[in-house]
Amino acid sequence: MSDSQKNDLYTRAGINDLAEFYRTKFVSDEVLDARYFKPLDRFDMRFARTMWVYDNVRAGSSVLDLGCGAGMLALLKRKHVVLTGVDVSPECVLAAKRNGYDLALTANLSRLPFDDGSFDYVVSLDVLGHVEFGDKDAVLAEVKRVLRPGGVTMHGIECTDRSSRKDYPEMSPEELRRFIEVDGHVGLEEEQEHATRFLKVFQHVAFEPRYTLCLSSEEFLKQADGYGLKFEADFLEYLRGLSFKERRAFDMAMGYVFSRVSDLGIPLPKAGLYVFLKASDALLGPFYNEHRDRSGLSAGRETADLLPCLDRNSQVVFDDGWYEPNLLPPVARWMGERGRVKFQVAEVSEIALDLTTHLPDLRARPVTLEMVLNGVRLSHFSLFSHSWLNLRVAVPNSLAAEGEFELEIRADRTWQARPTNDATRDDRELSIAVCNIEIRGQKSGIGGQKNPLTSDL
Amino acid sequence: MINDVESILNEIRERIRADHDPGGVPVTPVQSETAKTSLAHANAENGNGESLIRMSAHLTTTSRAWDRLPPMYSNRKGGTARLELWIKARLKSMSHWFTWEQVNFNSAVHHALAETLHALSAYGQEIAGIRAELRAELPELRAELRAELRAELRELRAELRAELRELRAELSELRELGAELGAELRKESESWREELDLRDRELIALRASIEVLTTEIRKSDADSQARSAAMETRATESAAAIREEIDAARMAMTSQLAGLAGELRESDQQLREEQRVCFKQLSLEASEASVAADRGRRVIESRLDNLEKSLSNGEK
Repeated sequence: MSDSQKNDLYTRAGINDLAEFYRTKFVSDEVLDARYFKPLDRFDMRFARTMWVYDNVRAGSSVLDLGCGAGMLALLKRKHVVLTGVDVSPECVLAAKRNGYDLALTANLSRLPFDDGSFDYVVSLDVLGHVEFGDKDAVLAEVKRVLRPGGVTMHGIECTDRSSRKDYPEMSPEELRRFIEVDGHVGLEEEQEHATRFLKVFQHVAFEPRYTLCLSSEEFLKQADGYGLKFEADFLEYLRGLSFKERRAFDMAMGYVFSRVSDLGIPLPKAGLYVFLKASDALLGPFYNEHRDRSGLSAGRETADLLPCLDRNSQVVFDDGWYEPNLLPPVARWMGERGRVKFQVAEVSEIALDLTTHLPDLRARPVTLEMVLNGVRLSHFSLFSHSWLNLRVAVPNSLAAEGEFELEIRADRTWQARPTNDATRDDRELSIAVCNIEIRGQKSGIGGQKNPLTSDL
Repeated sequence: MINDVESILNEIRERIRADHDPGGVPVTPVQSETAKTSLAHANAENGNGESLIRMSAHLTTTSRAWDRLPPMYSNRKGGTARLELWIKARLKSMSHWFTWEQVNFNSAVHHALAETLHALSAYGQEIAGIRAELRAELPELRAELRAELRAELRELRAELRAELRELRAELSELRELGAELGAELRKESESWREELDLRDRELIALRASIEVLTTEIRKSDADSQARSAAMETRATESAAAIREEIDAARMAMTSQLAGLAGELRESDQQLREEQRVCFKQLSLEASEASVAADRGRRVIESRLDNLEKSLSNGEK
């Protein structure tokens, strides 16, 4: 199949509005903002590709995220990177901005709106597999143009294995439609083919097949159901039966193994699924952990001390009773039956927060909530309405200056938002969503510091 | 002698009586027979005589003792006794001037009371005389009154008997009249009953004929009634169904509108709440950004200062 024949794959798959297609596929309410990142999430399989980039990017450099989507590289802000994103979908651009990108623009990837040599790094994750074959070289040329001399480009690219999977020309129209409809993959090539393309543009190219061993539970099921990859049936059945928390535990274990494989530099065999690729005109450094500095991931140090709101403070620990932050809007965390927040503060006189719930039949069956601080009940009340409630709870003087605090919120019932919708697999047990948790006190300041807003720093 | 014994006995009797009478005083016999008789008579006539008798007894005491001093005596014997009595006799004669007025007073009281007793006795006698006269006249008056009353009673009886006779005569007349009227009424009622029986029989016959006619009419109208009833039922049902449909549609529309209004209100409220919370989040983020910027500026300034210092040190 020639490139021109391959170029109309979107059209043949019935996808005429590319921006709309990617909006529906990749724009979500997921919060990727670095300020909401939990240190433990570095082992989450969801962030495995992000962590590879994170460990290979120099702190304080400028990075272009090609096909930024909702902003999967937002975590790079923890390394004080100047982060720019481009995407074909305006909604994705908005989501990337929302997640903390310094600049995000709508643009065709083969005509980037940047001056020559603008970036130290040009990065893409899960993008080049979506670029049609005829555009791939143009995109790589643009990457080279906007990259500074000696700059490095890094890519996570979806691959195919023609020995086990049909190539596009071999697919019937229906097969092609179904295949492309899953993710919009119109430019899948084998690992070596990708490397060959890059070698046409860059002097040095290195690549490593990844995702040979470790996939998230969701990815296992997608590969099996969407792409027809063969996995043991009982294993797939087991994965389908996992609850939200079990899936998260599975993904964390997979992410941990993924991370260790990278750390130890263990080469993986070709799997025809995914490849990490680095290219540059300069000599390439180590493939993994070239600029590893994870200090920004753990305690927020400087910036964390400044935040008057617990939600975005990395010194504050939200336990497993809380789910990842969601854009409702605003950005809020859903809670299960109970959630704990641990924080250190010199003095607390009042805790203020906003909360809401989407529980059904709330008027008939109100949800009862209990707020406990260091084992002492602060408040006990019921929610009868779905609207946001601004709650202010006074802290008794006996607790006010204990230094270390654990705020626990308990709900008497939960609700599965869409338990019957197999497509979403959102089987989280939700009770309330909480945001804007503010600690007020005469000497309040997270981490034992003074309140930054009143600080004379 | 006999009079003395009698007076002593009277005195004893009166004392015994006085002992039985708690408010009484010892009574002594009166001095004169007239007074005694009149007092006894008065005593026999009424209770007031008792007090007069007791007064008379007291007066016997005063008549005996109004001018007397107590006798002189001594418990000693011999010469001392004589000396004592001699002294007392001297003192008695010496104290005569002292008791003189008392003796006079006693005398006056005694005589005044004696006069009063005489006056009261006289009144008592007069009253007893009047009472005796009245007692003598009383049988005659009673006989006269009884005779008058009997005569009046006889006259009244005669009059009542005459009236009773008249009433009985009237009653017998009325009874006769009632019997005549009852007989007439009985005759009339019998004739009416006969007429009513006749009318009843006629009515039964008429009812039977009416029933026959009604049955025929019913039979003839049954089909048309059934048709009209069916038509009416159908029309009622269809009207009710249409009405129900209209009501249901109206209700549905109303409830939908109410629901829509409620939803709109709720969504508006939720949007407002979301907006408030979003603004709150934005303001918090803005605060954080401003603080971070301020801190960054201060760090840069301090670094610039350090750089300037190091440059100046290098120039030197």
